[in-house]
Amino acid sequence: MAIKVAVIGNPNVGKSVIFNNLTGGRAHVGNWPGKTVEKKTGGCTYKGVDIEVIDLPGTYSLTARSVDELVARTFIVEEKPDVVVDIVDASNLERNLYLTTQLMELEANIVIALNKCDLADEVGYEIDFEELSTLLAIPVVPTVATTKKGMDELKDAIIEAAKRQRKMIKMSYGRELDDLISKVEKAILKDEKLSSKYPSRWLAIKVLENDEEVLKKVEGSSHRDEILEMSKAREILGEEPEVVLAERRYNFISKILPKVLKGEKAMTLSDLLDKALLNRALGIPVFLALWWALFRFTFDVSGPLSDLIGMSFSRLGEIVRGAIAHEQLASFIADGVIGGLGSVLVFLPPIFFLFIGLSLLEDSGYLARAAFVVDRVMYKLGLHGKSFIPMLIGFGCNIPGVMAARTVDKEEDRILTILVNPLMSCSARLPVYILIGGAVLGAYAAAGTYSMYILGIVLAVLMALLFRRVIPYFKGKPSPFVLELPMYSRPTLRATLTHMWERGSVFLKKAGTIIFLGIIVVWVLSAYPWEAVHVGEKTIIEGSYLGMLGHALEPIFRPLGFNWMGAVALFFGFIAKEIVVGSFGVIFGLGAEAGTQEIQTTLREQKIFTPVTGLAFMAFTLIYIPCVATVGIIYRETNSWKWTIFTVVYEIVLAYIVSLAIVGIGGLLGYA
Amino acid sequence: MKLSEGARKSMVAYAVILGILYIIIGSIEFATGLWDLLAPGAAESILGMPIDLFGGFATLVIGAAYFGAISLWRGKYDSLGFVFVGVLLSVAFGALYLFIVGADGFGTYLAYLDGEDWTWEWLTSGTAGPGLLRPEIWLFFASLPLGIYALKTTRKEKVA
Amino acid sequence: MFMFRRKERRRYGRSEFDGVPLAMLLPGTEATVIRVEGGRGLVGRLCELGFVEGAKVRMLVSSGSGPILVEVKNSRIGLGRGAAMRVYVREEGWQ
Repeated sequence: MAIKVAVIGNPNVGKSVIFNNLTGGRAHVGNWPGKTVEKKTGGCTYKGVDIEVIDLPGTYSLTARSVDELVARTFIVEEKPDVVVDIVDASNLERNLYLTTQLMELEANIVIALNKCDLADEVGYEIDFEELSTLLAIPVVPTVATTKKGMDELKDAIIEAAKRQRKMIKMSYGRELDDLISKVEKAILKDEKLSSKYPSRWLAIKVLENDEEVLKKVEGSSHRDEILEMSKAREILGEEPEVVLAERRYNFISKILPKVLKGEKAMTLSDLLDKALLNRALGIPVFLALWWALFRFTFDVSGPLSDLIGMSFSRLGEIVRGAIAHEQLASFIADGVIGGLGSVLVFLPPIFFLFIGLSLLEDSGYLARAAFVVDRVMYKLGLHGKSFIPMLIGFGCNIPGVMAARTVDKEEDRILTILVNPLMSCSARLPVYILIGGAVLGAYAAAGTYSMYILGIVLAVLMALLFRRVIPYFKGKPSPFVLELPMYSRPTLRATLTHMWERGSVFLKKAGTIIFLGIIVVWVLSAYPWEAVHVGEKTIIEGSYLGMLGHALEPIFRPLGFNWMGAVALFFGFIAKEIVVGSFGVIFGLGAEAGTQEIQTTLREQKIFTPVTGLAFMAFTLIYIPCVATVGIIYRETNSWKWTIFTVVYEIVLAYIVSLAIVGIGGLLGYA
Repeated sequence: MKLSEGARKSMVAYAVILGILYIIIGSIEFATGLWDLLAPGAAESILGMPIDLFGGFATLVIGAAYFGAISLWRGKYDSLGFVFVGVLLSVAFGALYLFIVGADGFGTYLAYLDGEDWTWEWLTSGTAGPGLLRPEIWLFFASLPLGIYALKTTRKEKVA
Repeated sequence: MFMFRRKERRRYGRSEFDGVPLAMLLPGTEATVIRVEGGRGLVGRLCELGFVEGAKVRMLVSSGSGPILVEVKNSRIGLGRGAAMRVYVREEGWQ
């Protein structure tokens, strides 16, 4: 029989490291049913005992206020794990114990992992963990997760705890409140259904706290009236009950703390760093500088790796084409399959490099400071400070960007972040800027590319402000910024690579499959009807289904100056922006693997774009609908067709307007 | 925090000198970068400094951070934070440009595999401007002693 | 059932005439929390982080109109101005 163990703790306590230590790094990642909260499960076998480990969301408390807390609480109460490992940050003992008190109310079988003991030491604390264990009647195991110290002892404690029945202590909330709790509890005990399913004292406390979820359960109880009658007495407290209870829990902690914690926190390196990094003048410039470094790192250092992948797949394609006799099959495999795979994998290096950089920034603790520093600006723009991280990620790829919006607490703020995320120019659009910009903007190509990024940001800001004003759902200010800034810590190679892999593999799985399939579709549409397309040695795309499609769409785009070729490329950009360049290659008969230079030359020769229409095309690519994979993720994260369709529609409209404006203004200024 | 006056003052002097260097170099890079953006092709590199709009900005920021250490002169120990941030940033950018030079080298190698001639050009000219000669790389090495010294002195203080 | 969903501004604490908003403290100042005002969500979140009556806080970073950084229960919490104006404290050294 496997022991079911849940792992919980405040954010930033090292929960993932301990989870990885317990499960040997092999975890199954999914979602809690029906929710967008991530669920990680894993397992190990220790001293002959099978242990199943479930990672609960990091949280400060267990109220009914947020999905994370509800998921964690429901799991403990309904699935009744054999042991709950509460990870407590030793360098931050007082507040961490708040969650512990809530777990004690839930009557969970707790084992405390007192993590970051090394840090507590450094900072100047001395913790008597044995005394803590005695006072709470909970086993306490000191650990240093990053060096795996204490892991075996933790596993021992888990097995030990699973075996015996724990003797729990009852926390006192002050005489008045204790009496009140008993009264309500007595009423609850009368309802057998309720009291057999949930710990009755916990229910009583939650009823007094006006906990939404518990009150719903009580509504359905046979003894509803009696319970509610008893709880009305909370009025005698004269103050908001939830607040009073929080206060009393902290009181309990304050009584224990002096017996357990000695020493003063000296001014730490973290404090010093914050003086500079949060400095009013320096804070945002430092952030901008680091952001620039992240970009350079992502694109310039990964460049050769992308080239390597591109080269290898080209070679492979050539070899295969030569080896297969059947013309259509050869083309299918060489251009379609291998070309498709190559196109996807070429984007892997920048994505992974981006995530390495982001992991470094996040694990070191800097990202929280960045959110803090940009909040002042973001608030004025109608966005929450925490929205900036998803937007930053969106510059790499919109898919993880949209997913990262989960860190924003309030639903309205979160959805707004998701809606404007696609305006962040993702890395897949860059090749389009380079292609078109290089072809028709001449020396101003670099300026043109920069302007696309800036345009994206400006539009995102304008849209956020607009939506806040105009759409009733978003009316009002962003929710207040409340964020813990953890101590700075040195990121470990292992953790950084793990994070990089976790996030990057999502891109690989989701985007990869769709882009790959998209390329196959492009190939099919561009190669058939076979005879019309393959005339002798030449490939005439105009005769293919692709060409027909382009001509059908052309009228829509003519005011913008795009011809059927542009229309086709944009159509396929919907499937994946990465395909746009390849589409041009295919259209010009150069093959999907054509180099950028070749395509640019052809663009110039055939006068497909003028500088103005070229710029308009770049803008259109930036703004119009996000790729299919992103649309899919938006649906999943918002859980609503309404918002997904809204995003698609508003972006197409915006793209058209902006491109038209560019062409119009360009015409007025005299550039034809 | 106990730091001898001499130690403190010499740290500030070192930091301020680095700050001045970073600011001068950053200004040149930024100005030529701006020139190049507004009149492409016309900009000429001054003193061999790379023409880099955003890179120049970043370098200016590092200089500003080091400058923040000035109040350390009078004993405001909090300002030690500016020294650390300055060092961290110079490490970040120094490492970044080194990586880019390395990537250029790798790129040259790939071209070689593809049939082109091998050159050593990438060492002094490439995606990061003048390659290894990029000033931020040298200033990174120059910042290291300061960083190590600053770390050592704060480490000593912590043991209460 | 839905009567429990009303977003009421709740006040709690002893005298309502004491105390200044946290947002107004200068860096380096220490103070004690008297009360927290606001909608249920905000009040709840502030409480669980440690902003309860009697808790000691220390202002770390505060300038202009941006968020502030305070130390409470031995951890650093960043609060936007909106939230910071809703936490009322009594400065140390004042009666």
